[in-house]
Amino acid sequence: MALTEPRWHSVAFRRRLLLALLVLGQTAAGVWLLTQNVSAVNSGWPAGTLVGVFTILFTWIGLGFWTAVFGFVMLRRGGDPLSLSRRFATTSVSLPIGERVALVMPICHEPVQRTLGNLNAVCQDLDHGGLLANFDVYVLSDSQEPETWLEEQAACADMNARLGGGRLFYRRRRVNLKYKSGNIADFLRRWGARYRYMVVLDADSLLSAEAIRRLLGLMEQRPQAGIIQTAPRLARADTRFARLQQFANRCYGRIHCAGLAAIQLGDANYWGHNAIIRVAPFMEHCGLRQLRGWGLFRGPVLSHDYLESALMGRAGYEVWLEPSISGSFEESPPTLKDDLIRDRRWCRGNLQHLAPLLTLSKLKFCHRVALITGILSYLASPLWLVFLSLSAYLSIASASSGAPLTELINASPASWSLTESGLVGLTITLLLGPRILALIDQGLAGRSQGFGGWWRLMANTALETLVSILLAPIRMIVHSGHVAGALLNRNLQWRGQNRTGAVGFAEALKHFVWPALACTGLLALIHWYAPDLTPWALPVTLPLLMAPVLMLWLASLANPHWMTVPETESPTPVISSALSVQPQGKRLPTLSWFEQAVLSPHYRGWRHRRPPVKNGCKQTVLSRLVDQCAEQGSGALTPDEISLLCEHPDALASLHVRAWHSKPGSPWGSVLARLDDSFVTQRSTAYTAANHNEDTAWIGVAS
Amino acid sequence: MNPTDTAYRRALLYLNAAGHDTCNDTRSRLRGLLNDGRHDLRLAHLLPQVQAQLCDQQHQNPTRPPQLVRGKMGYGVD
Repeated sequence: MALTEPRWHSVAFRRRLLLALLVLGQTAAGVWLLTQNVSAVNSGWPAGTLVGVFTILFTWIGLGFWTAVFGFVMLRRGGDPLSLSRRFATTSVSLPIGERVALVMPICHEPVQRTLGNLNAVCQDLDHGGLLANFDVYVLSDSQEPETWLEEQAACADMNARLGGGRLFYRRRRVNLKYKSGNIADFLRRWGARYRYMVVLDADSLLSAEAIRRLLGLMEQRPQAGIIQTAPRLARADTRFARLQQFANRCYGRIHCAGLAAIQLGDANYWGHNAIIRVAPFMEHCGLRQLRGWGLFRGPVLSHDYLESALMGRAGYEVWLEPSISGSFEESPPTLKDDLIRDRRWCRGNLQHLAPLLTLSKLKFCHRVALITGILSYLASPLWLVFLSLSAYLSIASASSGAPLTELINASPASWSLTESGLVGLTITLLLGPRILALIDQGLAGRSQGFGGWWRLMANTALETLVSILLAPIRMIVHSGHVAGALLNRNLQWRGQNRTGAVGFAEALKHFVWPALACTGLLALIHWYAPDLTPWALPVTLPLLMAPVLMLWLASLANPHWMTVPETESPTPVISSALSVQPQGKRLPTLSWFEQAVLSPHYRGWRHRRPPVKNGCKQTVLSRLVDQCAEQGSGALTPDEISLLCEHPDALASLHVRAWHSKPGSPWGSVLARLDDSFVTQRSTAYTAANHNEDTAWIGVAS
Repeated sequence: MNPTDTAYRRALLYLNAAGHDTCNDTRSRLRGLLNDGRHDLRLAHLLPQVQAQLCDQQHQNPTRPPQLVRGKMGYGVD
């Protein structure tokens, strides 16, 4: 049976139509139930706005629910027969002889050892799978701090040596034009034409060799595919927060991804990493221009992935989400604070999509909807805030006019009408339904053992749900702030993520002090005007009041068996390999990376050589920097000056000689004394890695 | 040869930093070289020679980036 074009398109149309009917039907029912209550008590613009906002929010949560239902049905049927994975089952890859694949990892101020440890694990797995010889691995750095990029450079050199040398390349951009998408574009402009396929990793990505082999195989067999995206599972979670996220991703993510893939089919989205890209069409069609509007809508695109898949679709290529490809992992932010910081960037990026959504022509309808849902995922928070505020306003207004409102948000459950009960029941079903379906799916698929058994799976789901309920108002307030900040175009610094945890109480308190104070005031106000409503306000206000404590509790390290997922007990080889981090690159103890770069006899051995600067003002600047640093030590230079010096091997060589000849007691003499002390303490241990014999070459040269 | 002599200690530290073993035999040979009156072997000459030798050893297997193949990013038609 051939996978003909009309077939998946027509099936996709029918599935999307069914989804739309289900969502709209459920929304219509919800709105009708609400209006039965609202119109009985209130009219005017607040009530009208309330119904309008409710309609959007109800549609939004309905979309998630019905997507999960689609996924559940698909998985119960044994998977989607139209997915590429089901259609092309073969795992053999036959690339033309001599053809190579690019494996790229863009990074920017990430924790170097952990990040490159992940890449090292991917490369080792490729090596074990016999695929590494077909790959050119690129680390594309946008890091500007010299202490970070020198470490990256040193660790990459070590890693390259361990992998046999020759196929790992480190490149750093000095100008970070267009952030991550600009970094990839810079790579493609230089080397893209050499490759047919490019596998893109994030700084926290892990992809097994088998997954990469599968992606390559599918690309070879499906020439119309421009991008094939895997559904990464969360892994390497250490903190409670990350462990909860990992559990949710592993337990409920399965039906969500299956549903999403079934609805989108060949019009899926690129998620920015853990995917394979057909390079030629990507280079031809997926360049991202700077936005030319005003405020938020001016400058580089922050969230590039959805737009790139939309452009790929516009060019006539397919984008597939293949959740059944296992061996694809990423990491969760370790703490709530880091999660919210990442959301700030994503929020800004997603809201920016409004501009291309309105200005780009010929985008596919499915990709337009994806862009809208991306925008809504953050607009939902302020909308929810508006909904709650209007509800409170209408209730207080009714109470102050002598008619305590029990109709809209009923303070007495005993007097609930059928429509009120129906509305509450429908809302709870939409919110909790996906979790229940996911549990049923895991049980029917016989996968509960991987989660520590059926009862443990249930208990963990209940705990995760409780924490999610507590976090929802916190996210609502913070995301609303993000949206306001983005619309006001408040400056956003682009830095790497914290991937290792650790939050202090003072920091947690500082983060939530204003929302907590505002919440206290609001609660006092509600209690003053409408005491009957106080219990209804508590579920929203209490989590905000306890946010610092909750944040601290979530940031602490979790017991190894807490919130078990299948990978906890039996980690896949690529995860095990990543856990035994190898990259290093530190040869001289107690020195900073810059001091090592200056003093290491090896440094210029692996440093990429640039043509020497012989004259001109640049040489003057470099000479001045060498003099200044040789006399006053590394602290005399700014980070930019250090970067400039380290980018010029001849200047660094000059500084190297002068530092080694510095007098005892001078800045560099003190560094040498520190180095000497560390060697004395380490001499008894086996620091000197390879014991060179007495015929070592330096003796010959010196003699 | 005074073992606290700066040139000797620096040379020893340099070898350490380069990852060489600095056993007694190495030390005595280093002292011999520095005391040998036939060569004008001061630190200023010794360290660059060691360094150059190390670089040569490293450059036997250099990691060169692939040759550039200039391309351009297209923006589609809009």
